Amino acid sequence: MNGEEIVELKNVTKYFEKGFIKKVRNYAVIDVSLKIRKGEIITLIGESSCGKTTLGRIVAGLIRPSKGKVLWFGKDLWRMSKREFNRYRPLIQVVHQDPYASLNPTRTIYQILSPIIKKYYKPKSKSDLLREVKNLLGYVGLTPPDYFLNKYPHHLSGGMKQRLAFARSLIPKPKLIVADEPVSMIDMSLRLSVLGLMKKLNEDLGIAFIYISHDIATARFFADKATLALMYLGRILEIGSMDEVIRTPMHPYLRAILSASPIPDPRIAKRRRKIELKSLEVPREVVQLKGCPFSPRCPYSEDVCFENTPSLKRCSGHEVACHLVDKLPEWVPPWQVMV
Amino acid sequence: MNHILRIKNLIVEYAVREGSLRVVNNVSLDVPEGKITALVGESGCGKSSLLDGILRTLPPNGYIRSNGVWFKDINLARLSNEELRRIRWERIAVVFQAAQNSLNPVLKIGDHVLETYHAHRKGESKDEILAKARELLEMVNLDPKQVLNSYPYELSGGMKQRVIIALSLILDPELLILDEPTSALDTYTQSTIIDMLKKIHREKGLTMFLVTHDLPVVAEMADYVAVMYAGKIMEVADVETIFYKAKYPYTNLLIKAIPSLIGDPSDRKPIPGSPPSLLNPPSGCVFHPRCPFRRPICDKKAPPFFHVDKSLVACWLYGDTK
Ligand SMILES: Nc1ncnc2c1ncn2[C@@H]1O[C@H](COP(=O)(O)OP(=O)(O)O)[C@@H](O)[C@H]1O
Ligand SMILES: Nc1ncnc2c1ncn2[C@@H]1O[C@H](COP(=O)(O)OP(=O)(O)O)[C@@H](O)[C@H]1O
Ligand SMILES: [Mg+2]
Ligand SMILES: [Mg+2]
Repeated sequence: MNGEEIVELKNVTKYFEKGFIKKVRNYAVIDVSLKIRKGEIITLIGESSCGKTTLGRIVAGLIRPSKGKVLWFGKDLWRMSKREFNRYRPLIQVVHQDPYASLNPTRTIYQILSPIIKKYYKPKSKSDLLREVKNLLGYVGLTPPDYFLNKYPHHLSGGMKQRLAFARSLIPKPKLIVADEPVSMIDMSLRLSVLGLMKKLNEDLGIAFIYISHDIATARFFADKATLALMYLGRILEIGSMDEVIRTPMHPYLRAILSASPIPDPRIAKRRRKIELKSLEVPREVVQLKGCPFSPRCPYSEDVCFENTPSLKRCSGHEVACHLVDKLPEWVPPWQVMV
Repeated sequence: MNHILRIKNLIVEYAVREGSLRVVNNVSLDVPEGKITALVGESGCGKSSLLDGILRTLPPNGYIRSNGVWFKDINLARLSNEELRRIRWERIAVVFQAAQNSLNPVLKIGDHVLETYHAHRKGESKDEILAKARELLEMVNLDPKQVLNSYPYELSGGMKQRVIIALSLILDPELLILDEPTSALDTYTQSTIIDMLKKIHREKGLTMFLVTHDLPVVAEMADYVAVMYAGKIMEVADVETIFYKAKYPYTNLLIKAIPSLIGDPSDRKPIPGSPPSLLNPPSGCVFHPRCPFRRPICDKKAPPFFHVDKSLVACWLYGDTK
C-alpha cells in the first residue's frame, strides 16, 4: 500500500438509545476497525439498516461514535482543535443517495456552485468565476456547460443530479468521498455512467472512495481493485479484494447475496440456484451483542454460532468472521452450474 | 395464443404549462394469457402512464385516446367508471408503483383485508375472508398470525410488498399487473419477491403484466418482453430473443448498459446521449438522434412494425429487406 492514511477507525461502536422509560441500546455499528488510504476504494455492502450510513457518517465526522477512535490523517478527530477540524473537514465529502433531496430546488446550477467556488478558489473576476463553474460542469459530464448554467435541479435526470452533487463535492479538492448509495435511486441504464464518473475521479484525481451499496453487481463496475466489506447488523463479516471475494466468497451471508444478485441474462437468471436463508429479512428486533449476528438466518448455524461472536480471521486470501468456515460446502457459483 | 389484454392505439397526454405532453404515443400491445409479459424501458418513458391509460387511473391533467382496450371480450374503454372499478379488483388486480407506502397507517393489516374485500364484494363472512387471507399470506411466506395483527409501520418494506401482493389476490383475479414491484428493495429482498411471484404464477397459472426499468428482473421472470422508448413500443419478442438476438438497436444498447454480477465489466457501456423531451420529440423514429445505425429515412418518417425472425420491431433497418 502507498501509505498515507486518510481515515482510520479503531474499534468503533455506535449505538442509539431507544425507548422512553426503559432505555435500550440499539447498536448500529459494532467494533469496526477500518483504514482508508490515499486513492483507495472501499465498497461497503449490506442490506438496509445494517449500519452502512451510520458508518459512513462516522468516517465523515458527522456522528461521534459511542466507543472507539476516529483518526483523520493520523489525528484523533474528536480531540483535535476547532481550527484543525475546520481545515480537514472539507477534505472528506459526502454524496447522498437521494439526488432529489440534496440539492436546493430554488437555485440554478450556477447559483448552487458559484458560492462554493468563490469560497475555495477566490476567483479574481466574474468571468474567472464563470469559467471555473463551466470547467467543473464539463469535467463531470454536464455538457455543454452553457446549457446547464441556468437550469434548476428539477430540469435534470437522476443521473445528471448525481453528477451535479459530485461536482459540488469536488470543489474543496477532497481526499475522500463517502458516496452513500449514489445510484440506488436512479434508472438502471444510467448507473454505469455515474459509476464511470466516480471511477474517473478516483483514477485522475486520486480521490479515495467509500462506496455504500446493497448491490454487488453495481459495486463491481466501480472498481475491480477495490476492497469489498460486507456488513451485517453493525459488523463487518467479510472483507477482501473485490475480485477475490466474488471468486471465493466464504461467509454464508455473502454467498446468499451473490446467489441472488442481478444478472441480465434470462438463461442464467432463470436457472441458477439461490441459497435460501432461514428467514427472508433482517430481523427487526434490537440488535443483540451475543453470538454471530447472522446466526438466526444462517442455513448452517450451530450452537456455537448463537453463543460466541466470531471475529475476522484470515481465510482464502481475505478475512471472514464465521465459526464454520472450515465446514462450509465448497463454493460453486450458482451461475456456472448450467453454462 | 389467447390474449387476455389487447391494447389498440392508446394515446395518453398530460396538459402542462408548455402545452401537451404525449407520454404514450399510439401504443398497441397484446398480452398473452397464462404468461408473464414485461414492459421495460427507462424511467420517464411512459410505462406507468400506459397502465394508467389502460385502467383509467390518470391524474386530472391526463387525457386518453384509444381505439379500445380489451380485457378478454370486454372493451374497457366502453365501461362506465363504476363498471371498470369493479373489474379492476375482481378480475384485474394492480400493484401500483410504491404501493407499500399506500397502506393506511392506522389500520391493522387484518382490518385492511376486510375493508378491501368489502369494498368490492359482499356476502362472505369475516372468518371466511380471514381464512382466505391466511392462506394467501402463507403463500407469500409471511406468518399470518403475526402479520394480520400488525400495523404497516411494524413491517419492513419487503414484508409490506408481500402483503400488498397477497392482498391483490384476495378476489382471485385473472390478471395481475405489477408496476416496479421490486424497486427500492435490497438485493436479497428483491430476489425473494421475484421467487414469490414466480411461485404464484406457477401454482395459480396467473397471467402477469410486469412493468419495470429493471432488466435483470425481466430476465428472471418474463416470458415475453415489450421495449418502450419515449412513449412508444419499439420491439416485442420472447425474452430470449430480446436478450440474445434483439433487432432494435436501442434494445441491444439498453441490455449492454445494465450492471451484471457476471461477465467482463468492460463489455458494459452506458448508452450515449439521453432520452428526448416528450414535449418536443424528434421527428421520424424517436430514437434516431442516439442511434448508431441511423439512415437518411430515420429522421423523416416514423417506422411501422416489421416482423423479423421472432421479433416485432419498429425500425427502418428492416424496412427495405422485404
Ligand atoms: N439518528 C438515529 N437515531 C436512532 N436510530 C438510528 C439513527 N440512525 C440510524 N439508526 C438505526 O441504526 C441502524 C443502522 O441504520 P443505518 O446506518 O441507516 O443503516 P443502513 O444505511 O445500512 O440502512 C438502524 O437500526 C437504524 O434504525
Ligand atoms: N401528471 C403529470 N403531469 C405531467 N407530466 C407527467 C405527469 N405524470 C407523469 N408525467 C411525465 O410523463 C412522463 C412519463 O412518466 P411515467 O409514465 O411515470 O414514466 P415511467 O413509469 O416509465 O417512469 C415523464 O416524463 C413524467 O415526468
Ligand atoms: Mg443507508
Ligand atoms: Mg413508473
